[in-house]
Amino acid sequence: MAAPLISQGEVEWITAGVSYNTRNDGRKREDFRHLKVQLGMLAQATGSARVQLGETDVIVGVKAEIGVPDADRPDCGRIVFGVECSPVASPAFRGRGGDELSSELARALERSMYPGPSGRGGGIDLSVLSIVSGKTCWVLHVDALLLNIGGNLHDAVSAAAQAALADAKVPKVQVVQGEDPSDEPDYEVDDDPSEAMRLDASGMPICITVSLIGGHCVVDLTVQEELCSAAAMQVAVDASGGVCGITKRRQKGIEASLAMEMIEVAQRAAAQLHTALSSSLAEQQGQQQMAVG
Amino acid sequence: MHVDHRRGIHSSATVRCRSPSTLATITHSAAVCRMESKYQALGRPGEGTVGVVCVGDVIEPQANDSVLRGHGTLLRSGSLVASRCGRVQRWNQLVLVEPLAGAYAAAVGHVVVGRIVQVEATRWLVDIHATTLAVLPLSTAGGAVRKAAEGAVDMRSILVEGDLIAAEVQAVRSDGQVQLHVRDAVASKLPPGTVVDIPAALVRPQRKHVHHWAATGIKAVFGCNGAIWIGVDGGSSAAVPGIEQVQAVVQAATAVRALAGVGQAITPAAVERMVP
Repeated sequence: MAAPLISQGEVEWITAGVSYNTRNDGRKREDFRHLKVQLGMLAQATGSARVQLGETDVIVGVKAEIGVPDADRPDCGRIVFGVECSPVASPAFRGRGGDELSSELARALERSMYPGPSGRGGGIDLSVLSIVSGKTCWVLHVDALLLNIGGNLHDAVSAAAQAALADAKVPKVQVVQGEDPSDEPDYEVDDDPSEAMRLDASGMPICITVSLIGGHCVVDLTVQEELCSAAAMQVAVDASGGVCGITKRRQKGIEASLAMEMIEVAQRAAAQLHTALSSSLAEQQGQQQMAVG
Repeated sequence: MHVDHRRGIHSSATVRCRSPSTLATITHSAAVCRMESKYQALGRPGEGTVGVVCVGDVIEPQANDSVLRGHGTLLRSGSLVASRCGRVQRWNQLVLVEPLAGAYAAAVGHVVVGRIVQVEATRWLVDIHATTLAVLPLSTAGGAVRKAAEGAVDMRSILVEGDLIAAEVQAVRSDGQVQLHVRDAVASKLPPGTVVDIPAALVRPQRKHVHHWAATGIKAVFGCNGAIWIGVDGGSSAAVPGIEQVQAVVQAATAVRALAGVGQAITPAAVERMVP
């Protein structure tokens, strides 16, 4: 992807503005842009959400399929993350142009949301996705589509993934054992939406990218601001404020004391974002239930 | 919406006559209505030289021999009808509709704010939000840089990729290529500041495209291509901008975004009314 250009004057300007706690769009260093979440955008998906964070626009769809669990975790379901860059967002994404960015985003999503080898630490309890131990389970495909790039893609994608998983309703499955115990069991998938299981996404972490501009911690960067930042730290924070994962991004290193400050900034920002997201989700899910009832 | 009655701009409650043709009923969608209400501050057809029409709107009820049909118009049962949303332009007999959205269409004499995207041996290629990149030849870049033609001066020592410049459109060739002109390539480079991108239709060619706020030491360049540059006044980028300057620029940028958001024409006077 061809990097957008910025002049030396603009870099000086943004750096000076950040040091005065006044960014180009009038925000302070720790202010997020307006977060807009819409649930149930895609009728065919198990769950979906569109998140607009300023100019950034992301759609995430969750599709549940029946598959085979991992050999080392036979009692758990699986979640597969994928990100696609739409050529609508940038002409540079035509062909295979967006592959690098999309694999980076998908990996970041997986790192912050997927449990470690022990099966712990993930935001979602994967054992509820198990159908028959060691044989079948639900596989959730979480696919993000980037529609517009306005900076801070990682945070927008993670918020959208959380919203889409909260919106997902996994159908109820009944295992019907044949007469002979050696027979393969049959599955009956109940397509009644009222019987479907909602995933508990409340424990899922949300990614906050804290960047350094001129030695100051800044969150929710625009494209121009991202060009001025040499170091960034992506912190996954859950609803209770616990830090679930940290990834360092961009070329420069970060001093240890500064890193602690960045984590604190991320925790403050995450608390606000979690509140905004959960209130928006609760409101929309309430409306959906009213419509059904 | 702010309505300036002195200029004869009508409020959004104005009800308009619309041609009863099927074309109008089919294409006059909600999106068109939104666009119309957004841009109606720019004026109405028949109220002076500019007016905004939507698809299917009648521009001339009796299109006789005195009217030449231009771009964005078509003849339907004897009347001239708009075939796209935009502003009506009249050049003697020629009537055309200039679109309100889309890429910037350059015209000779426009002041534009652009970004250098490529440096070549004797010219720079500049992004001015047009369909093609504009060309800034070394020969039009002032006497101070003429030495570069002989290879004595490095092109990148004058302007590098990413630099913002304020330039004037010198020529638009028949294939659409835009040629820019600056008095001095070094001086055309804009000092520290920020750019606000708005629809190009909102910035009309005017007498003054540069506005200075002497009290805070900032200035703005209103590019006809919809790029409004706001930043520190004064050529040298040596000094770090002060907090008053940053705050004043952010204020002016917010004013430009707010005005553009409600479809108001962006002029130095309009911005100064909001940011004295």
